[in-house]
Order: sequence, then C-alpha cells, then structure tokens
Amino acid sequence: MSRAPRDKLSRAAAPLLLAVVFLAMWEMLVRAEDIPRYVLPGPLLIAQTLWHDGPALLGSLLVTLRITAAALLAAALLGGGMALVFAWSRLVELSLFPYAVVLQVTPIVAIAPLIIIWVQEPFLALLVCAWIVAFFPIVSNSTLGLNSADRNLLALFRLYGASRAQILLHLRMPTALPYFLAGLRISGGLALIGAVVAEFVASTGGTETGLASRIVEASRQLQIARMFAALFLLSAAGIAIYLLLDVLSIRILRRWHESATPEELE
Amino acid sequence: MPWASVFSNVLLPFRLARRVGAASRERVAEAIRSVGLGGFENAYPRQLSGGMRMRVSIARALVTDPDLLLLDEPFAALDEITRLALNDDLLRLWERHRPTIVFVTHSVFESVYLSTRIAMMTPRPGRIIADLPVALPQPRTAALRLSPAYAGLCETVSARLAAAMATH
Repeated sequence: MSRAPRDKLSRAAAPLLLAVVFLAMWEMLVRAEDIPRYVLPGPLLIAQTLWHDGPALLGSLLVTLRITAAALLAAALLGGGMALVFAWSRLVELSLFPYAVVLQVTPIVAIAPLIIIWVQEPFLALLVCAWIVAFFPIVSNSTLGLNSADRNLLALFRLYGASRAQILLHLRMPTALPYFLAGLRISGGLALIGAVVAEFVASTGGTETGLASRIVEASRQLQIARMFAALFLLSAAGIAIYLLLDVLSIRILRRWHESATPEELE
Repeated sequence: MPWASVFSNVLLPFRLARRVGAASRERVAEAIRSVGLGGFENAYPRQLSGGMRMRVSIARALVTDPDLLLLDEPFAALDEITRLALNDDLLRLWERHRPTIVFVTHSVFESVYLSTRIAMMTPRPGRIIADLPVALPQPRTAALRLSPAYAGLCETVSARLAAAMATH
C-alpha cells in the first residue's frame, strides 16, 4: 500500500519523461541536420502551429467528433439491439451474423466512395462509414455476452418458471453488460478511425468536412507542421474517447464486476 | 446473481412470478433475517464470504415457503466451522415449517446429524442400496455430536458405506 503513490507517480512520470527525451532528440536532429520544414518540422514549430491554427483546427475537430459520437451511439443502439435479436432467435443469428462479418472484413476505404455517392447528405454519409466500422465489435461482444449466462443460474430461472423474456431481461442482459461495454471501448476508437477515413475519401472528392480534410489540404500545400498539429489533435481526441468510455464502464460495473472492483475487497 | 444485491437476489422468485409488492418485500426481509444476514440487504455477493453467499441461496430457496427443498451438496465447498454452523441453521429453519428436504452429501457425519432418513447410493450406476431411519431426538443441537447414540449411528452408516463401496 505504501508503494502505491510512488507507483502512481512513476506511472505518469515515466512515459512523460520518455516523451520529453524523444521530442528533444527530434528537435536537435531537425536543427543539426537542417532538415527543411516541408519534410520534417521540429516539435517546437509544430507546437507553434498548434497554438496559432488551434482555433481553426478545433472547429474541424468538432465536426469529426460529432460524426464519431453519432456513429458510436448508432453502433451501440443498433449493435446492442441486433445482439438482442440474435439472442432471441437462433435462426436470425445464423442468417444475419455472416453478413455482419462481411460488413466488418470489407475495408472501409473501399466502400466509402460508394457510400458517399449514394448518400447525398455529407454528414450522413460519413456517419454511415464510421458506423460500419464501429458496429461489429459491439454486436459480436454483446452476442457472446448474451450467450454466456451461468448454467446454474439458468437452471434456477427455469426452476422458478421464468419466461424467455424474463431470462433475457434479468439474466442474459446483466451477464452481457461487461461484454457490451468492452465492445463499446473498442468501437470508440474505431468510430474515430472510421470517421477520419471517410473524411479522407470525401475530401479527395472535394467535400469539405472535419479534421481529415484539414490534413489533406495541408499536405497539398506542403504545410507539414499543420499536418502534425492536426494529427496531434486526432490522437488526443482518440485517447480522450477511450478514457471517457473506460470511466463510464468502471462506473457502471463498479459494484459487482471483477474488472471494475478494487482489489482490497478480495 | 453477482450483479444484484442480497435483497434483489432473494426477491428473484417473486420477481419471476410477477408478485413484487409490499408483502413479498416483507417476506424477503424476513427470509434474510432468518438466515442471519440482517443488515446485509444491500451488499453485493462479491462482498460476502462463501458461507454468507450460501445463506443468501438458502434464503432465496426458503422465501417462497416451499414444501420440498432439493439441496445438492450445498455446504461441500465450505470450511468445517462454517459448515457446522450452517448445519445448525438449516435444522432451525427446517423446524419452522418442516418442509421435505432431500439433502445430498458425501459426509457421513452431516447425513446422520441432519436427517430423519438416510438413503445410501452407489456410484455408477446410481442405485439406492440402503434406507436407514435416523432415530435421534429432535431438536438436534451441537451436544448431539458428542452423544454415544450419534457416534454409534455414524459408525453403522460408515460400515454400510464401506461394505457397499467394496462390492462396487
């Protein structure tokens, strides 16, 4: 217990220190070799650009985040809903699950142009692309969870004459909750990737969208520092999404699930 | 159910029968008290010891006042002290409404202490090879464990069991 605060400190300090060392070496390399800024800008220049272009980039980031959030929400609702339908009917699961896999294995870059042509509304088109990527982990995890109910509890429920709906509501759904949340955490990152990939495809077609089109635009103008700044914002957004979903998951499961309970209770 | 509090776990039979009301809630509270878990209504299973979890299961089984209870080695995973305590608790609970309890155990001492009748079974194929009455006085208390009558009956049962195992 006495080591915990130091552990916590070094857990934060060690990667930070590494980052500082890495950035310093990067800056020195750029200066020593006199690398032109349109090939590799130094971290100081990138930080300057981030400060200077920040407000403009943040606006674009907001667009991307809106798409990501909407896609994740749609994936959670439809993915969770579809898993429930699968749990209810084995026939539906057997007939539909392979197509969910097809949707998952088809590279989003390959179908994004089609979707952007078919769906005229740009926001909706990007939403569909991000949703396709985010959808599968939630369906497959939730389906696994719904089928993982404890055999003894299942026998107990049957003994008390529980209906299928009651077994689903009071046994299978609570069992599936941690699985669903694990799927959601994976999908959070994937939704962002899906949104960015779709924006790339859309912006090569000339549609102005979120942060990805800022990156494409900056690369055309050889503003490499700006590309890095946008990239930094994207990574930060991805980390923020992950942390947010992690906290959400721990808060929901805190009272009973092993993954979210402190060890002292053992 | 690890995701539900002790109270919700014991309430389950009523919830599944769609009979959750003031009366059933009172019965749940009473069942939890009767197994000695009063005050733990809002605790979650992972906060309880193995013996306490078993008490919750027993409260859940008793809450509907069943005429028949089937207990398949309920105390097998518990330590000796907890097991003896739960043996006594089970006897007290049984004395209230006297439901029929079919209790499966691998312990000769447990079987003699708890039952009014012992049916001995052989492994593969499972056949009943002996049906022994247990004519020990009621109510049974810890003092009985030290009595010659109890020891004698345990010896008889052990001998019958050993003979049965030898021929199978």
